[in-house]
Amino acid sequence: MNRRQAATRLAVLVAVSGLLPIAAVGAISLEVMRRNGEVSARRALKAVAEQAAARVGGYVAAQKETLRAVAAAVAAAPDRDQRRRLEEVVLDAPSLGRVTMLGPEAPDSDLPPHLSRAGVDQARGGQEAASPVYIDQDLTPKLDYCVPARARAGHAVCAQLDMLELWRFVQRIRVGDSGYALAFDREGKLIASGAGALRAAILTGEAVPQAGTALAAVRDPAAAPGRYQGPLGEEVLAGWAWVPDPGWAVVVEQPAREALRTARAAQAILGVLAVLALAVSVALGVWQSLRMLAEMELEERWRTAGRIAAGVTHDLGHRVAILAQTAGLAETGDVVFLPRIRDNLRSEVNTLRKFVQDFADLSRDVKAIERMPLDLNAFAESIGKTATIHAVQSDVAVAVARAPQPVWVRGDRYLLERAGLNLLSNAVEASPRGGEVRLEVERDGEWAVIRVVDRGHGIDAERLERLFDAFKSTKRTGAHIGMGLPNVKRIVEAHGGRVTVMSEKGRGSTFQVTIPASEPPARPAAITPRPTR
Amino acid sequence: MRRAIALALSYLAACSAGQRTEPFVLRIVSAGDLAPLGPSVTVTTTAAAVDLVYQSLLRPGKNGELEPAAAKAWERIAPDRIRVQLDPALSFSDGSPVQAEDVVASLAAAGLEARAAGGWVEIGRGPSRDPLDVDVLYAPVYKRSESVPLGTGPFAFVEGDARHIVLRRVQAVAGRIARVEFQAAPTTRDAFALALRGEANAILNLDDRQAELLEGVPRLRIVRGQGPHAVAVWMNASRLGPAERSALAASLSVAELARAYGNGCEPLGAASAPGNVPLGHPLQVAAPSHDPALPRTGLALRRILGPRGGDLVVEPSAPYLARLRARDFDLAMRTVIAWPPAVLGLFTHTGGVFNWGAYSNPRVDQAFDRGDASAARDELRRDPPLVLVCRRERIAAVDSRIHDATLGTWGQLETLPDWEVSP
Repeated sequence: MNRRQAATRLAVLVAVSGLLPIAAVGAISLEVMRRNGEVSARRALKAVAEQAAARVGGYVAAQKETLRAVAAAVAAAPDRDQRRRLEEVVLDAPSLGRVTMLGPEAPDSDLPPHLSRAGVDQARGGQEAASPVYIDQDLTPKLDYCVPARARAGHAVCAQLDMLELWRFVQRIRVGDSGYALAFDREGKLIASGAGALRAAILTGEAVPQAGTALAAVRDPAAAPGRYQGPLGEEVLAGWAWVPDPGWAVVVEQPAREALRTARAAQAILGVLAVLALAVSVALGVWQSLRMLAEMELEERWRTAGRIAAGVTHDLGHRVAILAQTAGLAETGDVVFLPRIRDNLRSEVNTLRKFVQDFADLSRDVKAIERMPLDLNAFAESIGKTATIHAVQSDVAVAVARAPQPVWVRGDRYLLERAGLNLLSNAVEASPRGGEVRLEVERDGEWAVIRVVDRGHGIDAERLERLFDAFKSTKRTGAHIGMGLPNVKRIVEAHGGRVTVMSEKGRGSTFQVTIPASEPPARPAAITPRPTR
Repeated sequence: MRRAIALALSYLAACSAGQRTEPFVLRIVSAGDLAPLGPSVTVTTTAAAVDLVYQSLLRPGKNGELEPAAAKAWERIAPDRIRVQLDPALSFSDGSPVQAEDVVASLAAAGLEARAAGGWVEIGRGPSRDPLDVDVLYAPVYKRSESVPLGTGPFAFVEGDARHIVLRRVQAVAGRIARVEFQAAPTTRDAFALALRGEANAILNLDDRQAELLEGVPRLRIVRGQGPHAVAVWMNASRLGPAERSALAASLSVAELARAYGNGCEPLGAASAPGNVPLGHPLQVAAPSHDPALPRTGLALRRILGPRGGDLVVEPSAPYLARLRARDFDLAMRTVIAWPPAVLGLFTHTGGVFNWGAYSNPRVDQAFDRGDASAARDELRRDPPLVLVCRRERIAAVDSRIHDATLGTWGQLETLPDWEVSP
C-alpha cells in the first residue's frame, strides 16, 4: 500500500464513521421534505379551490338575492306596469336573463325551460326552486330559479340565471403552468372546466374520469382523494372544495411533476450539496492524511536513521577496538603474536563482510519475475551444506530432514538462501559445542514448511515479542545490528508466507518458515547450489 | 462523436423538413347544412368559402374606397358608368386565362350592363336600383364549368355537398394553408364539441359569450376583427316624417344602446348628449329573436323613448322580415352592412334591395349613383332613415399554429391566403 492509498483509506474511514450518519440523516430529511412537499402542494391547491368555491357560491347567492329583490319590486307594482318591468329587468340585471311571473294558470310555454311545473308550484307555495345547471341554446350555462312573489300570493318569479360568470371564475384559475380548475354539479356532471380538452364534455354531458370522485366529494369533501390519474393520463395532485348552496364541487388539479417541481429541486440541491460536502470532506481528509503521513514518514526516517547510526556506531566501535588491539600486537613486532593477529583479522573481516551483506540484503526487494520453482528438499540440502562449513568451526552438526515427497515453492532463491542461512547461523551460534541443528522440511496442505531447530540456550520470553523488529537484536554480541531476523521476516512475507518462533529457556528454539506451496514444474528445474557470498 | 452529432442534426433537419412539407389543413366547422358553393352565395358558412374561390373586379380598400381586385385598374367615366382594365395574367383555377367575354358574362349575370373594348370593360347600371359601385362589389368573375363555376381566387373547389366543402390552394405556397375543409355539424353545440375535441381547428361567427367557451383552449386562438355589419335602429319612413325621424335620431343614446347590445359592439355616432324624445304616439319596436342581443337592445330603445316606447315585438326571422317588408312597424332593431359606406345604399337608395322602410331621398340617391358615399352619408345624417348604433365585431377561433390570423373587414376569410402556419 502506498502513501496515497493509505491516506485515502484513512480519509474514507473518517467519512464512513463520521459522514455516513450525516448522509443517513440527510436521506431522512429528503424523504420528509418530499412528503411535506406533497402535503404542502395539496394544501395550496385546496386553498385555491376553496377561494374559487367561495366566489362561485357568493355569485350564485348574489344572483338569487337580486331575483328576490326583483320579485318583491315587481310583485308590488301595479298590473299595468308589471309586464314592462319584468321585460326590462334584463337591462339592469343582465345576468337574470328572461324574468317571468307565474301564477297557477301559467301556460307550459311560460315555464322556465328546465324547471318542471312542480318546481314552479313549489316556489309559488313559498319555497324556492332551482333547476340543474344546463347549457342553453346560446351555448352558455344557465340555471332556472324561482322565488315566491311574496306580495302576490300563489305567484312565483322565475329567471334564467346566467352562469357564464361560473365559467369565468373556473377558466381563469391557473396554477403554475398547467394547473386548472373544474366544477361539478351535485350529480357529478362537469359544469365548468379550466382544461380546454374537457370542455366538450360540458356541451355533450358525457362523464369525465373525475365524475365519480366529484360525486364522492360533493357528499364528503374530506373523503376526496388528493392524488389520482388526471384526465390527460398524467398523475395529478388535487384540492377539493364544496359550494354548499348549489351543492357543487370545485377541484383544482395540477400535474404532480409540476406541483412538486420546487420541492424536487430543493431535494436535488440538498442531495448535491450533501454529496459535495462529502466529497470535500474526503478530499480534505486525504490531503490532510497525506500531509500527516508525510510528516510521520519523515519522522520515522529520522528515527530509523538514528537507530541504524546507534547500531553501526556500537558494532563498528567494537570492531574498531579489536582492530586497534590487533594493530597494537602487530606494532610489538613479536612473531609470537602473528597467529593471533591473523585470526583476529580473519574474524573481523568475516564479521564486517556479514555486516555489509546485511545492509545489501536490505536493498534487495522480492520481485515476481525473479521467483522460480524451487524444491525445498534440495534447497535445504544446499543451505545445510553451506552452513556446515561454518558450523564445524563451532563444533556443531547440521542435519537435514527431508520431506518424503518433493515440496515445491516459487521464490527468489537468493533471498530465501539469505533467510535460511541467517536462521541456521543464529541456531549454530545459539547451540553449545557438540550440539546439533536440524533443518526440517515438510508439506502441510497448501503450505510448504521449513524449520530450523536448535537445542541452545533459548530466548527470553520478553525478547520473543520484539524478536523480528528491526534494529532490536537479542544478541548484542557486537557483530549484529539487529537486521538479520527482521530481514528474514521481510523476505518470508514478501513470498506470501510468515515466520514464527517457539523457544524455551535452556531447551532451544524452533524457527518455522511457512510459504505457499506450488505445483511441480513441467520439467523440474535443475537445482544448482549457488555459492554463498 | 462528431459523426454522431452530424447524423443527429441531419435527422432533425430531415424531420423538420418533413414537417414543413406536410400540407396544413384548416377544418372549419359550423352548424347547419352548407349552401351549395357558387359565386353569388351569401348565406351559411359557404359565404366564407366564396371569399376564397371567387374574386370581384373591385373590392373595398382600407378606407372604404374601391380598389382593383381581379381587375388591373379602374376609373369612373361617367356618374353612373365605370370601366375596368382586365389583367392579362388573370386565370381561372383550372389554369385557363380569363377572357373579356367571361367578365362580361359575370357582370351581366349580376344585373349589370357590360361591354368589352380593347382590354377594358365598361360597366353601367342595369335594371337594379342599387348603387353601381355596390353591384360591382358583389359581382364576382367566374366561368361556368361542369360542376361548380370556376373562380379566380387563390383556392379551388374540390368536392362538396350539404355536409362538407373541400377547397385546395391553386398554387401551393410554403408555410401557408394548403387546404380548407368546411364541415357542417347538426347543431351549434355539436360544432363547438368538434372544435373542442380537436376534430375541427376553426370555427367562425362566434359571439362574445360563445368565445369564452374557447378561451384558453391550447389548440385554438381567438381572433377578433371588425366586420362590415352594424346594429341599427330602423325607422319606418312611411309612418314617420323627416322631422320626426331626425328628432328621434337625435334623442337616442347610441352608447346606451351599444351597451345593451354588448358583444364588443363598437358605438358609432356622436358622443354628445342626446336630445329630448319628440312628443307623439307610442312607437312599436320590432326585433328578431335569432340574435338575443337585438331584443335586448330593443328594450333599451323602448326605455330611452320613455312614454313613447310602445310594444316590443320579438319574433323569429321569417315573421319579423315579413313585418318589415309590409312596413308594419315604427322602429325596428336591425343588422345592416355599414362598411364600406357605399353599401349602405342597399338599405337607403330608393328601391334598394334592402330598403324596406319606404325611405326615399333624391339627394341620397344621386350621391350614391355618382359614387360619392361621403355626400350620401351627410344627407343621411340630415334626413336619417336609420340610426347606426354600433359596428359589430367578428370573432372566430382558429388553429393556434396560425401565427398572424386576422379577419377581413369585407370578406371574413379574405386574408386567409396570407396566414402563416407553423408545422
